Amino acid sequence: MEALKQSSTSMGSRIAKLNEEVSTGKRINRASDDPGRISQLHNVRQQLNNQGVYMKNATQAEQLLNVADTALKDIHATLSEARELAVQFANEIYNGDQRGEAANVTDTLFDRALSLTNTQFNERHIFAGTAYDQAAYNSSGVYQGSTDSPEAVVGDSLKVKTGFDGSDLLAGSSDMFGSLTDLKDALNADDTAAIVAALDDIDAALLDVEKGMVEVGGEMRRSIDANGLASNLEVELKQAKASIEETNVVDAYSRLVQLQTNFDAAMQVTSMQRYSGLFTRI
Amino acid sequence: MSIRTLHIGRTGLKTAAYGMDVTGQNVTNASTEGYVRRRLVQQTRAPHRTEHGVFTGQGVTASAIHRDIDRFATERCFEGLGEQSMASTAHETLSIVEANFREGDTASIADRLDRFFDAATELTSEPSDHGLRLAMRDAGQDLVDSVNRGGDALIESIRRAEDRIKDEITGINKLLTDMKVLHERISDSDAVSGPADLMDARDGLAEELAQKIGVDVDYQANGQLAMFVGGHAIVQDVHIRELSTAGSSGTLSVKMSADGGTVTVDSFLRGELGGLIKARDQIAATLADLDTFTEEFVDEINAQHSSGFDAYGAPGLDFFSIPAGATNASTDMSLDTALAVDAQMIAAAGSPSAEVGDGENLQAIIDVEDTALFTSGTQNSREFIASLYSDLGNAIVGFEVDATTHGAIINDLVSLKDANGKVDLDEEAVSLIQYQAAYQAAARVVTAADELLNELMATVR
Repeated sequence: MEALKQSSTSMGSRIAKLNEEVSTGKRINRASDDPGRISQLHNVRQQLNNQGVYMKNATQAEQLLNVADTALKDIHATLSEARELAVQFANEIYNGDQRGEAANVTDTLFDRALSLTNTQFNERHIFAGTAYDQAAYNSSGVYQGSTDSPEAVVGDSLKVKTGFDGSDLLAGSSDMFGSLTDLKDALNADDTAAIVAALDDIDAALLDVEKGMVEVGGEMRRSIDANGLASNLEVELKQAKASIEETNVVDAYSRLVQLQTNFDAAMQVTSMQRYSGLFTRI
Repeated sequence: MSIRTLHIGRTGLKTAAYGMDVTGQNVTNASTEGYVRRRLVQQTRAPHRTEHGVFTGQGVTASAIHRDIDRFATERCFEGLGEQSMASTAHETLSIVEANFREGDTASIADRLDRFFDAATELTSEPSDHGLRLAMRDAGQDLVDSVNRGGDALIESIRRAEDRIKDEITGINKLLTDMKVLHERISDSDAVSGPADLMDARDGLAEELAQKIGVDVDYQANGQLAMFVGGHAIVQDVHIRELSTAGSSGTLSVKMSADGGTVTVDSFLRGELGGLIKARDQIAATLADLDTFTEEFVDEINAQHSSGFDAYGAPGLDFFSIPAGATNASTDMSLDTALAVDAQMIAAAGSPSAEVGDGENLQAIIDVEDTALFTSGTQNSREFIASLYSDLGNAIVGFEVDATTHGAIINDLVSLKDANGKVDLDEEAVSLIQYQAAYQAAARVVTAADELLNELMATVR
């Protein structure tokens, strides 16, 4: 009877544990449920948390890089318009008045390029480097940003740029605003030789912008790859976490039913144990 | 002849009546806790020598009432009880402590640690973002809260365990005094009728003591029970040694009175008291680990944070703080007071002249997560916390296994003990029939002697 009582008690605690397992869906609810796998479980959880942050950072970087890419395309288009003006008005058939009109157009292109180089994303000046709280270029087209680029962590030992040093990205070996100013001055001066010289500078600036577009595209690629990697890892880590931590509900349920049956049987035996020996016969 | 025969019949009647008394006592106590079956020991009375030199019987006498106890099984049972009780008490106590360190809890130290580094990682995407700075500061505060809570819970658990140790000792000393009184009464008792009930009561106390402190037990030839803790006699005949405590919180130890002083018996104790001491020691070890984690982690984060520059271009202050001379780093850890009110003081930048978007120092802080700071440079902070959880879990599992194992052993020993000592109603029914028959037979002897005497008297008349 004593043994029966004890086994009923231990069965009761096993049923309570299985109940918890079934109700939480987790076979590890505390370290003592499987001490040997706690370190592994913590590692997986930490990596899983990390992937969430990496994806968040990568997604934000992608949005910023998309804006940067669009801005560079527009800058390229603006410089291309300036180049067309230079080609057109380098031709001798135009007079001074007509070149003066073209100079006004160049002025507009300057302002447009200036506005584009000061493009913002979430109030960050994309081309001002780490000094993104201020405009990358002043009204004269002089760079006033930082030569350092901000970076976001998007993976283990993986970073992408979330801003660019405009003086390097937009004018590595050229002077975009200087070339536009030179073109305007040449048009105002009705000086075709100077217009041709400005044309060469604009070509160099276009080349730098194209290089910049390649760099932004590269960062974009890295960011998309990092996001994809984090997303895939997240799926795999969720599976790994589930295999460590989660219970097989069907198996747990069947064990629970079995234990409950045993428990009921033990109770039945306990309640049925009554004396039916010699005393009842004498 | 006939007069003696009457006398012999009378002793038979008396002894059979004794036998029925003993059987009746057994039957009515069949379900009494701690009752050990009695057996009447009968003995032939000293014979009478006739004038012809012939020895004739004088009948029967009840020489003793024997307690049918299996001493070996009972002694092992008491000892096993101490082991089982120690393991289950330690298991229960530590399981309650473990509730503060549940797996997957978003307020757990492990989770808060992850989130602190995640917040730093997220801040790299926009170091000037005030919201992200606030998030990192709050993640730091959450980590502090979690570590404080863990440390407080462990200290509270130690206090409760030690309070229970003191309470248990009061109860144990009362049991020892009761044991002493019973032993005195046993030694004063009549061997035939008295001691069995007293011995049942004494064995009940011995079982309680075994459960409380775990004892080595030895039944003495004089019916007394000697009990030992780590070789030191705690009960010997009518002598007992009381327990007491010494030391301060966290290092409370149990002493046993000895000639001219006390001896420390912590390491010998089993039973509930031993379990509480084992649990207290495990909790203290977990607290020491948590304090080590806190000190090392705070030092490293502060070192990295101080090497950076905040949003004002000023050198970074400590991120976390532990007051000098703090007894427990885990309970006294806090966020730096200046940083707590101004998240702009998070030193994200790598240089004083850095622009707002510089997050160079954040990377150095993030790298602390994977730096092997612990266990002689073999474990990073996450791994160390995981091993802290595992160690506690392993201890709980170990005690659970011990409790189950010793429980099974005790079940076997109880069965063995009960095979001799527990009342078997079938056997008692047979005894009843035997004593009834013996009584009837003795009565017949008396009747026969009476008839013979009557016949003799009639002849004389």
